[in-house]
Amino acid sequence: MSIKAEEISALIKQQLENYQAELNVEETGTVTYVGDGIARAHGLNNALSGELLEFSNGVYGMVQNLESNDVGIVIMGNYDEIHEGDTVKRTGRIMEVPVGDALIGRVVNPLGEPLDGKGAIQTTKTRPVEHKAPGVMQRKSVDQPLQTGIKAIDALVPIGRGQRELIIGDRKTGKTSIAIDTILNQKDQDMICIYVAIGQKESTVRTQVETLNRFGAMDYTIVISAGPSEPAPMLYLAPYAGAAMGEEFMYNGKHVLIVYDDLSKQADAYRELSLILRRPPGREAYPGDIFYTHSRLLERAAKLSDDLGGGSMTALPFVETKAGDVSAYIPTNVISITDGQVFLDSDYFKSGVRPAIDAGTSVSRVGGDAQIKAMKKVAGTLRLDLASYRELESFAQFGSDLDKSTQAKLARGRRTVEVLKQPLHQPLSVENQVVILYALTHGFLDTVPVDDIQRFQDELFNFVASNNKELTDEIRETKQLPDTDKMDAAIKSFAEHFQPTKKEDD
Amino acid sequence: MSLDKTTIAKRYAKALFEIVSENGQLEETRSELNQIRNVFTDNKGLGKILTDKGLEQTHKQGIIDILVKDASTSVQNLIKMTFDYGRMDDLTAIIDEFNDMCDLSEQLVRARVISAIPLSDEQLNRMADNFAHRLNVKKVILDSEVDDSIIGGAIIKTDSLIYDGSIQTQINQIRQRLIG
Repeated sequence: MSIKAEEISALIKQQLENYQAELNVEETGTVTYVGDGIARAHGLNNALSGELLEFSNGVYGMVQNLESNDVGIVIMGNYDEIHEGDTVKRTGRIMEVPVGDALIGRVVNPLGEPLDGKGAIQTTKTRPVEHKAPGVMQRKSVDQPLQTGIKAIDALVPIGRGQRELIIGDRKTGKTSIAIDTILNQKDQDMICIYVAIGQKESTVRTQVETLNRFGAMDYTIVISAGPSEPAPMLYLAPYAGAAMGEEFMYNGKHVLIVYDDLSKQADAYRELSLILRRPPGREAYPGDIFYTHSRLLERAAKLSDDLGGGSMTALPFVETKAGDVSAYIPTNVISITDGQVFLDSDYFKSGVRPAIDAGTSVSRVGGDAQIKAMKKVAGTLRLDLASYRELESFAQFGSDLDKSTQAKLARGRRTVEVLKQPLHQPLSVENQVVILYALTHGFLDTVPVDDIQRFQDELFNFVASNNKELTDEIRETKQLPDTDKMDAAIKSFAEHFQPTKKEDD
Repeated sequence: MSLDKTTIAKRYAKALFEIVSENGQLEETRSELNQIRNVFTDNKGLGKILTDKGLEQTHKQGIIDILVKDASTSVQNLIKMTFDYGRMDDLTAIIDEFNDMCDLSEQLVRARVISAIPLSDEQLNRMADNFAHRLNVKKVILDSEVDDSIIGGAIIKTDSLIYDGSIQTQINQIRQRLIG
C-alpha cells in the first residue's frame, strides 16, 4: 500500500475546518498535601464524588472524600512529580476503562493500558468503572452449569453461570491453580474469562499468562494486573475495572467468568488509602464501608434475563485466610456475600490431596440447579459418603477390629478421596467425570488397589473413548445418564481386563 | 481532633465580618487588617512567637500592645481575642478569609490575566468589564502578567476557574484531535 499524501492532507484539512476555537473553561483547585498515593486539594468546589481529576503533570486522580474545606483525591499513577501548590483540574468525567473485543488476549493494568507490549488497545468503547448491579427484574435464576473441569468441584460444589463462588484458603493451598484450571477448561465453551490479579507478584502473573498461552487459553482471556509495586489506589480499582470489562460482554449476551485473585489484598489496599484519607478505622482497622466495597463488586456478577440477552457473569472471588481462620473480618464478609464457598485446606494439600478441597465446609447454594442430570445422579451421595468416611477414619486409627460394613465404608472412602484427586492443568470433560464417578458409586473401584485408581481412571477413559463412545456422546448431548445396564456392561468389561500393578515385594 | 486552619479562619472572619458590616466600618477595618497582615509578612515567625507557650506572657503582651496601638476597637478586640485563645498563628489566614468575604459581599472578583504581549490599561479595563459581565459580578480586578510561551490570546485565572483562550492550548487541542 502506498501512502497517499493528498488524501491524508485532505482529511487533515477537513478536521481543521471543523475545528472551532472554543474558550476553554476549567475549574481548578490547589494541592495542599501529597503523599502515599493520595492528595488533598483546596478549591474544586463543584467536584463530584468519584470524578476524574487531572493534575498539572498529566496524572489522573479520583475524588474520594468531599470535605468542608478540601477534597481527598486518590492518585492513579506516579505521585512523585505532584507538588504542594500544583493545580488540579476537573474533567467532568467519571473513571472509565476501555472495553470490548480488542482487550481479549491482552494483559492490561487497571486503567486499561497495555502491559504486554503488543501495542495500543484498538477500541473506542469505554465503560464507567463503577456501575450499578442489575436489579431484581433484570435477573434470572442460575440454570446453566459452568464446568470447572475439576472433579471435586463439579461433583460436590457445582458452580452455575452467573453465580458467585468464593475460593478461600490459606496461602499455598492451590487457590490460583483452581482459577487457572477453570479458565483452561472454558476452551470452546463460548466463555470469555477475565483474570484480575490484585497485588500478585509480577513474576507469578507472568507465569500464569505463559501457562494460559501454552494451553491456548489467552484466545478468550483478559488479564488485568495491579502488581504490589503499584500504589494502593490501583489495587483498589482493579476488580471494578475487571467487572466493567466483563459487563460489556455480559450485556451483549455473552458468558463471562471473572476471577478476583485476591480480594483480601484489595481490602488491604482500600484500608491503606482510607486510613491515609483519615476515614475512621473500624474492625481490624478496615474502614466502615469495606463490606459495601465487596458487596457492590460481587453484586455485578449476574445471570441476565432473556429480555436482556441472557448473558452471564460468574465471579470467583478469592480470599486468603491466615492459619485457616475463616472468622476474620474479610472472610466472613465475603462468605456472607457469595453464593457458597470452596474451602481449601492446607493439611489436605500437604498430605497430597490436590485439589485440597474440604468437602465438609465447601458449599454451593445455587449451583445444584445448574448441574446436569447425569452428574446429579452419580454425585448425589458422594458428599455424605465422604463425610462419614472422615468420621470413621479417626475411629479406625484405634484398631483394626472392624466389622465388614465399616471396612467396606473405609475402603470406599479411601477410593473416593483418590478419585477426587486431580493433577494440575488437566481439566476433565463432564462426561468423563460422570463415567468415573459412576464407576466409583457403583462399586467397580472397590476391588482396585488404591494406588492404581489414577491409572484405572485414565485407562477407563481411553477404553470408553475407543469402545463405548456412544455412552459419553449420550451424556454430552442429552445430559442424562445412559441406561445403567449399558454403563455397567462397559465398565465391567474394562475392569475384568485391568491388571493391578504388581508390587515388587509380592 | 484539632481544627484545621481554614475552619478556624472561617469562623473568626465570619464573626468579625458580621460585626463590622453592622457598624458600617468595612473599608476602614479592611485597610487596618491589611496593614497588620503586612507586619506579619514582613516579620516572618511573628505569629509563631506570639503563640509560643514557652515565652513570657508579659513579653508577648508588649508586642500585642504595639500592634493594636492605633487600631479601631473591633480590630483591637479581634487581636486581643485571637491572642487570648492562642490563635495568633492563624491571624493571616483569618485576614485572608475576611478579605474574601468582603470581596464576595461586594461582588468583586480578583483574577490574573496572562497574555503574550503587555496589555494597555484600556484593554485591561475592557477585559475586566467583559469578564465581570460573564461571571455575573459587579467588578473584576485584573492583575496582568506577560508570558510569551502561550503564543497569543489570553488566559484568565481566578481562584477556582481558568478561562483559557490561548493559542498554545488551541494548538494542543488540534494536535489531540489529529492523533485521536
